[in-house]
Amino acid sequence: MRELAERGYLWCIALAFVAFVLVTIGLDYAVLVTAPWVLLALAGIAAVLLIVEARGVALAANRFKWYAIGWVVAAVVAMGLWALAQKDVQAAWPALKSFRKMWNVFEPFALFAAALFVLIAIGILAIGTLDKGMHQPGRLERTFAVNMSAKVAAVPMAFTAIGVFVISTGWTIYHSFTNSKLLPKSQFIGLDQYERLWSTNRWLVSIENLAIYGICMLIFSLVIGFVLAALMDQKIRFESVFRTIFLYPFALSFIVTGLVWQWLLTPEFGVQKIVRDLGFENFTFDPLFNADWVIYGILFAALWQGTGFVMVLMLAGLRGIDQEIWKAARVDGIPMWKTYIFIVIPMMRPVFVTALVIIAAGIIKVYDLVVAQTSGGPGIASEVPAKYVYDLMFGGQNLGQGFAASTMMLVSVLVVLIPWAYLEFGGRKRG
Amino acid sequence: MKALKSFVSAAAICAAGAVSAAELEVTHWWTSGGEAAAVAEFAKAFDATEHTWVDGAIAGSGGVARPIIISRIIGGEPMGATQLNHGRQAEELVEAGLMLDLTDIAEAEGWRDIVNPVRLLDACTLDGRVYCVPVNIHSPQWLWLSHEAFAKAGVDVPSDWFEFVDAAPKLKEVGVVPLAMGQQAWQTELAFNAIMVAVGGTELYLDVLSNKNADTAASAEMTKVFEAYDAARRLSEGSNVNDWNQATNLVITGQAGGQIHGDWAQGEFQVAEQVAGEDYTCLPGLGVNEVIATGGDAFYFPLNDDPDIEEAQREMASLLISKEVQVAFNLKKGSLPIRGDIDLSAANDCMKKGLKILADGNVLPDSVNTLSADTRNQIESLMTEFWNDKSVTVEAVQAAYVDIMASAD
Amino acid sequence: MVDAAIMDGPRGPKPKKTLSRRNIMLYGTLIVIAVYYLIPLYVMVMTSLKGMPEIRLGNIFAPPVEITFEPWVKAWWEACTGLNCDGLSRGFWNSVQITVPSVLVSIAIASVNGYALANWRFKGANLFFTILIFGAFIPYQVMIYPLVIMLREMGLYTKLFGLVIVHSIFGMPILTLLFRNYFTSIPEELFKAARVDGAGFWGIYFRIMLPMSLPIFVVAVILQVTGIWNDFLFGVIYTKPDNYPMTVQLNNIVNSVQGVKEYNVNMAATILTGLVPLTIYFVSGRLFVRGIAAGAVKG
Repeated sequence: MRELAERGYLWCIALAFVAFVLVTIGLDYAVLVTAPWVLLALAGIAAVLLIVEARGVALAANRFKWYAIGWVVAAVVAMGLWALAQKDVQAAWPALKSFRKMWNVFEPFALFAAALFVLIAIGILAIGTLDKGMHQPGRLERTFAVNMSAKVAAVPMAFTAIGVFVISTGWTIYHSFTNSKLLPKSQFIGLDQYERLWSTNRWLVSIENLAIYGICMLIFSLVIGFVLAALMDQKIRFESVFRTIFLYPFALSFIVTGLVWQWLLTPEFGVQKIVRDLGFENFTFDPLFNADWVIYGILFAALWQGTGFVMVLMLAGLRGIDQEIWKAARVDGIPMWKTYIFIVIPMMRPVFVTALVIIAAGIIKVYDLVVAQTSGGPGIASEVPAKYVYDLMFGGQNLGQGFAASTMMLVSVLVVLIPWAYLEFGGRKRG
Repeated sequence: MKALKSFVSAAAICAAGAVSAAELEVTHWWTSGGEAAAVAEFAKAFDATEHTWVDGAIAGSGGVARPIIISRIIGGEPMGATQLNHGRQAEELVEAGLMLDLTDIAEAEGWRDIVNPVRLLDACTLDGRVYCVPVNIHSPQWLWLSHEAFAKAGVDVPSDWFEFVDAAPKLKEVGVVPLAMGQQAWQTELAFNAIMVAVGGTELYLDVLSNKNADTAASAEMTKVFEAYDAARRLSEGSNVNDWNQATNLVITGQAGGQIHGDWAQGEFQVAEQVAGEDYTCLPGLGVNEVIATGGDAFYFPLNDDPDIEEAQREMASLLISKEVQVAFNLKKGSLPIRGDIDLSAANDCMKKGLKILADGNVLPDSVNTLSADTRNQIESLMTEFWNDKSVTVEAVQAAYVDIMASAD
Repeated sequence: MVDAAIMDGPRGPKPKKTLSRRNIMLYGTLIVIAVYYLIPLYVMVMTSLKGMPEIRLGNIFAPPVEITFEPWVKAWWEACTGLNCDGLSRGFWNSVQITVPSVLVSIAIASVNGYALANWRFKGANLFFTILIFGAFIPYQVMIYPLVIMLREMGLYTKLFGLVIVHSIFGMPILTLLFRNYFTSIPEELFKAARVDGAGFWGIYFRIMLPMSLPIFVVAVILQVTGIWNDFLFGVIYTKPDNYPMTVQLNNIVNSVQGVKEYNVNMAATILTGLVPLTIYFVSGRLFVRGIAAGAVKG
């Protein structure tokens, strides 16, 4: 009986919450709009059942009384927020008006939250009267009393994870099947946006560029980063000077990086002119104006910016290798390069994974660099997916197409990420 | 000025009543030398009222600025007023009820009688309501030629596009880039439409861009246009600049023979203190078909719930279209005024050519007005790809163009 | 936890003689690479100190014949976008106003997240964490538009505070990972002892975890300050011209060309924009490296 009431109570609260979120993001069907309140009422009934079971709440002697007070305080705060959205209050306190919009958004949330918090306080009081000496804390106790501070502290994280990442992504995917132009609409047109996307030359060029850039970036940053780290690890003098030199570009933004390299690679003033002035009249080096080479020009700048950081990661990894290994390798007469490749690198697997994750996360997002360095030119030769999305969404006023393109970006990330996550985390439980 | 002020405040009073000063943030993408000088005229005139112009210039041409402007409006943080190209770009914003309805001012001041050509006002009108103020007429189909460059090559300054193409090899010989072209996609699209009018004629232009007739786009006449465009792209090798005004600068300094660009390029010649007919020549319609397309800029006033701001918006709307401001602005900008009833004796050669074409009624709609932003965006991508990638053939680009036109809206 | 003292000494085989062939090769290579890394900075500084005529004639590597600081003055005070001719100075203060609260908020949230995940595991926590890590890979483009709507609904769109929220959200995945890994490496006995003594969630956090995690905070601060200072995309989308951060202002200045491109002013503006993160790296690079070694490396 108690088990059942607890179960019903929790499920009602969870469902009420889900229904409420669905209503908030725009699914305002009549059923859904009333559902949260009905479900909260059901949870209230379950709470009453719990109180009956526990024979009262024994306020003074309740072992959860501080928790309950906490929830009541939270409910009061929520009601306070609700009050701020009321017209009379705003009229009495004009300073509130400038945030009118924010209060208005909070109004329904605050009301719901206040009801929820009061309910939780009641539920927890009911549980609190029950004997402490049970074999195992009940469902409700585990949810609302064990580790409560940690759970409250994790609210921003939960909000970001669910409220932003999941819901935003879902929203975008949903609208990629519509013909939204300047404003998002719910007019479904099936897979048309995707068909158009994959028959658009510019998108294909973007994907190809991203592939070239991504693969080269991964390989070269890892190799260069590791080699630099290995060189730095030779007990050299002025280590910190070299390290600073290699690392400083990482502090600069992609915009700055793009502008500098644009300047260096300008045929009229940059490298080409220098070499021509040296007497090689026919020397041409204008990667930014050559459709076949432009993506490498961007890669060049990206490597300059990013390898220093990879080096620092690698260096930290190298310093973590046990000194004994080197001694043993020397005793066995294994040449240094062999020691690095066959012994040290396998030992540095976690470092490589971290570096890989950081580099990979940066690759798919490459945007600012292209904008600053080439604006996608010459022609469409250095377009990248992120830029395609931005241009279509905001410039081309075709949101649906932009959403479809960004969904494809997401899919390609998942295709890479899911197998990796499975290999990395799926096999073993980490403590 | 005094007359203007009383006129303005009269209009304002009949619109709502008491006036109190407001700051209006105005976003636009007029950041080149000539443009900035022109927009300063607006600011000056507006500051002379009790309101204040807060400049919100966004650099990098319409392609960069428009998204920012639109997301501000959609995002519920509208600016006081904003430049946009009228026509299809703002259609949905108006439909969504995000723009201030200016119909009462337009009717009170009789905009329909003073705006010439009236098509400009039509582009601002949706379901009989007026939502924007046209401020200038820009026609993209001009060829700008540098006298210095042709003197260097020892040939006469051409009088139309075909002569220009013939003279190009001579220019190359003396190290002058025949045709300057900025890398931004919209500039290549502009050049294409210009060549379409010159080579294909106005009927072809209308059938393709206005009627969006895919069959015409696939026709043999159109192939000729693409061939001419193909020839043009081969003339631009070596002009590695990004912005249109840098390309114009190549013409001004004689490093390039010519540039196909809109009449706003004129502002740059003016800033460089060059004289039309002496230092440079302008050929509307590339000297072949003397027509101009009536694109241009307009100001929109996003809906705002602050009555003071709305008041200022209305005031600015009638100010922008007033005679004095129109003259001052357009002389600096190098564009044509949107009123037929003002005196532009101060205008230079090129503007006078434009005014005459306008008076003769040889006007075409601009692709900004006839095509949706989405379609234009696709065409721009295609054109810039073709322009910069010499391995794309004429057949291929025409086929792709027909595809876009078949689904154009 | 890793002992920082041990971490600092270089490993690898011992060097033999000071001027051996190996050393010449080693230092030679390092110096060549260092020169490559320094060239852009050198060219930036040199270009920014020249006048335009000299730039047009000369070569980009040549030091200026006549040093002029005018481009710097112009970049900071006078460069125009449209009618606003107040250079980068406005963007600088905007960037400060954006960066400081964003860094504080995002690190506060992420460190508590990491702590809760590492030491107070509860049901569902790992689900959130997994989503968060996936979130690090989700292209921003997927979330740009929904976030515009969310901020609009809250009336925070184009407000500085809205941008602070956006930075906190997008900084969270990597920072949380960083802190979680670091806190996991702190011996559990410490935590258990504190629990026995009756310390609660916040008590342990403030009295034990915080004092022990200085290195990782340094890393987080450096990453966030540079990341947020250097951000361009969010600055463009979620603010308005009044509030534009310095990077956006820089891009505007560089792209609003009046007549000819003033490369010297552009380069001066570029250096100015990069100056804050550069200073941070030059000053605290050592701490950064040590912090990375102590925390970030354990996957």
